[in-house]
Amino acid sequence: MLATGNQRLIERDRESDKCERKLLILLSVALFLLFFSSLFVGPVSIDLFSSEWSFLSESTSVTAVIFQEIRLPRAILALFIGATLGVSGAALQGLLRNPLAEPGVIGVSGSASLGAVIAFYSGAAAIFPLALPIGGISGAMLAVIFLYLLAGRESSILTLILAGIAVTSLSGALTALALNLSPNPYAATEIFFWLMGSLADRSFEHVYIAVPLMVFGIASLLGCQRGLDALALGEDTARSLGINLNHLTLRIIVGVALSVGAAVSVAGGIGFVGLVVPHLLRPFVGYQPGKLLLVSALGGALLLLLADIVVRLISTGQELKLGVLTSLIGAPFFLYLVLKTRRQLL
Amino acid sequence: MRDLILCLVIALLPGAAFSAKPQRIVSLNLCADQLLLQLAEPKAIASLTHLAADPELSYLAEEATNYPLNYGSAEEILQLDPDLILAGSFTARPAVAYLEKKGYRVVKLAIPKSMKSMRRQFLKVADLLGEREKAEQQLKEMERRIEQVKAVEDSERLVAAVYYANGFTAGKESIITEVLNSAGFENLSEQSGVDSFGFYPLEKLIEAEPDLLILGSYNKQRHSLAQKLLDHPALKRVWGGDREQRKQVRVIIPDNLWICATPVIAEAVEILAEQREKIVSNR
Amino acid sequence: MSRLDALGLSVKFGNSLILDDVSLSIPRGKLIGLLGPNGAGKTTLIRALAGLQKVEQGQVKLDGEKLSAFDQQDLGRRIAYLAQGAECSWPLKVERIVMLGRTPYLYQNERLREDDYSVTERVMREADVSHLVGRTVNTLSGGELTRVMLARALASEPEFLLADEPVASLDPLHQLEVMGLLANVAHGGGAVVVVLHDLNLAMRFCDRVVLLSEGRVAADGEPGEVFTAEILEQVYGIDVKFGECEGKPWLLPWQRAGQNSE
Repeated sequence: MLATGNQRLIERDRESDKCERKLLILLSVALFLLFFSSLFVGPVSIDLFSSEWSFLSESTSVTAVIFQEIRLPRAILALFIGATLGVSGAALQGLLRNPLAEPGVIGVSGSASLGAVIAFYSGAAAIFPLALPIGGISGAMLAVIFLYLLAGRESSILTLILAGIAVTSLSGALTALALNLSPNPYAATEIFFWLMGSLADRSFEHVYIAVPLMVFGIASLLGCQRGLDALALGEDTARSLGINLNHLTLRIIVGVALSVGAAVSVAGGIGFVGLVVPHLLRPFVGYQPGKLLLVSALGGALLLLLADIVVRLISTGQELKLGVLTSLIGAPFFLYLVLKTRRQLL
Repeated sequence: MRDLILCLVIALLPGAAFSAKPQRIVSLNLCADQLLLQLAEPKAIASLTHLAADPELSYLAEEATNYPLNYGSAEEILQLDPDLILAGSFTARPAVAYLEKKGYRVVKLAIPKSMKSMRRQFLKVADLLGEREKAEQQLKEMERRIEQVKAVEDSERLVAAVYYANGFTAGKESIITEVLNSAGFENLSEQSGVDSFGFYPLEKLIEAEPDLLILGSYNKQRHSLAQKLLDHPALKRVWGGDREQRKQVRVIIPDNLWICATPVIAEAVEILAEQREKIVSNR
Repeated sequence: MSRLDALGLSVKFGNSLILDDVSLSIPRGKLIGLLGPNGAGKTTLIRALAGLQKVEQGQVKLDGEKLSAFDQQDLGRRIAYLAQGAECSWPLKVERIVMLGRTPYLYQNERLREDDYSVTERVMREADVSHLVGRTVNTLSGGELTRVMLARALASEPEFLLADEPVASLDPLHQLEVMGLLANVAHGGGAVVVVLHDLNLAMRFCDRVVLLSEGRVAADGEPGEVFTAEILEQVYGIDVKFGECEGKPWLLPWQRAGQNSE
């Protein structure tokens, strides 16, 4: 990796491509292993070498049911939700040119929670299951558009964070209100799930309604590589390089709203994944916002699968909320980033 | 302070000191509501909790709508100037403490953990209300219904598990266990280590494969994640309701039948016994 | 021969008129200096020429066609814009920044091809930044950064290069080098419009000078015709001393117009 001025660019580039490919392979292998391990963690121990667990059998044996109906949807959701949060963080950071942009921090998750809560507790989701992700997506969409109008052109870190706090508190209060108004006595205690997020006892119903939308959103974001790279040089330069900024912005807004909205509607607002993952991976891709997208998707999935395994291992009795763990990791990280970018705040 | 203790002691002496029936009774607890609705004269009830009118939780919800309902604040209760307040050990505690200090006659009801303590509590409250005869009659009726079920019981012990919203289950030190026993079931929780009421992971429940899975009320009109758990596809797959040939059966027993320990528990025993017959005949 | 024309451009910010009926024709093969006092509308004009500025009246035409009729990516290949201040949000590597100049030649997430690399290498040599390969942008001096950004603009192999104050932060040596480079690009067949503040650099390197004043073109022509005592007094409000060196003129802004020298 040491630079020698004379080495031809193309060779240097191929070499760094090779490094990036190695990183992708490493992340993918780790992801596969974690996904597989995730299937064997839970209150009931399943023997890896037993013949009873399988992905397909119709058996009603205890192991098959636990494996297929509880563990598998959970691992699949962790995979896609993690990828969603990672790639959304990376895309928002690229668009707003700000390392602190993250779906949770800037209020997109909170607003998606509000939308999902309204769809769920009003009963719309019971009649029409897709109403749940649609509620989440609408909430997320409103927040992203609001934030972009407010902070997009300015790209001031302070404006963005303050706007995020405002959106988060407002949507949090409205979520609490909606839950309090719900006729169900259990509802009021469920705010914790929506604010912190959890994957406990999710089922394939959630996979079916949310994963296709998340895939669509993630794909939309992954297509923004070239635009985000050019945007690093400023809006004018990006446009002069042939990038249609309106298209790019719309694509990112729709991609984030679709994927984060769907993710939050089935698992609540899991925080800080989109902040930590892109930040850790950025040096490995030469700080290129475009290259960061795919690795952040893989890294996000990795982190969330890992966190979800840890949550199950350390919990006795009722499970610790997944978001509690990611926030414990993420909040100090956030503080560190704020301190690092403090000069820009003033 | 001494007055207060004296007052409480008197209150706890069944029907001795107060021969006159209380006329303005207030309840601050769902189970006290049930006792009042079953035992007290309608005109003596001054107020019930708002939960009493919730048909999912309250067996006599329809009748409860005839009375003023309270939300457990001291202010509401003071206005009614009650001569007897029934409260739970854990509900509306700040209001209860305040009302006791003010010298009101407050009787706190514990949660009965067995049929025996249920009977005792039922009679105690009946004495407070001056309705002993009514209470004895209802208890006798309950015993008759349960005896009838027991008469057809055979020797085989089946295992049943109770699963409420949020993944909670009733353990061995609960009246639920006795209800299950009366219907010829063992409570799974005797193996699970849950004492009276506690969390039990969904996976563990499935692993234990009880013969009968008893779910708490699941109202499709009122939405909560807590109750949505009872609709989890994994439960449907093991205890699928539509397949008659299954050896395991899944049944929903309305929470209002046994959330409080009163003689209507007999109805739960009957439902369970019916299910038991179904399981045995499918074998 | 392609050309870029501004026809009667007017731009308003709120109530103030920034450009007032500006017409300008930019043929290829010339280095054109765009000068004028602060606030004269230089940046607005150059952004308008690049198609980045909404105009109230008039239009910019490329080969006789409105800019808006072109595909944005096609425009990116033909007109390069070098913004003032060399913004870069992330600590990218130097060669990566220069490669971004190839963006208009790529579709979606397409990878760079062999010729993209050779163009990148060539323009890096031209801008004298080859030795900076592997350095990240936040470790560069102001002069190095400007030359990297210039290389980035050249990497698009544009017909028209529009540069907004590229020499503002450079030391004299690098100023001369960058101006020399721009002149080479122009004389090699490209057209270069460069916003400048330094009258001497304009006099020395530009083939043509456009002097803006309060949103209007005050003078347009060869440096010798434009930089006269009369016009400079009118536009900048200064007295200028003229001299000659090796048969070429230079000038020195001496004092505010109307002041008597001691």
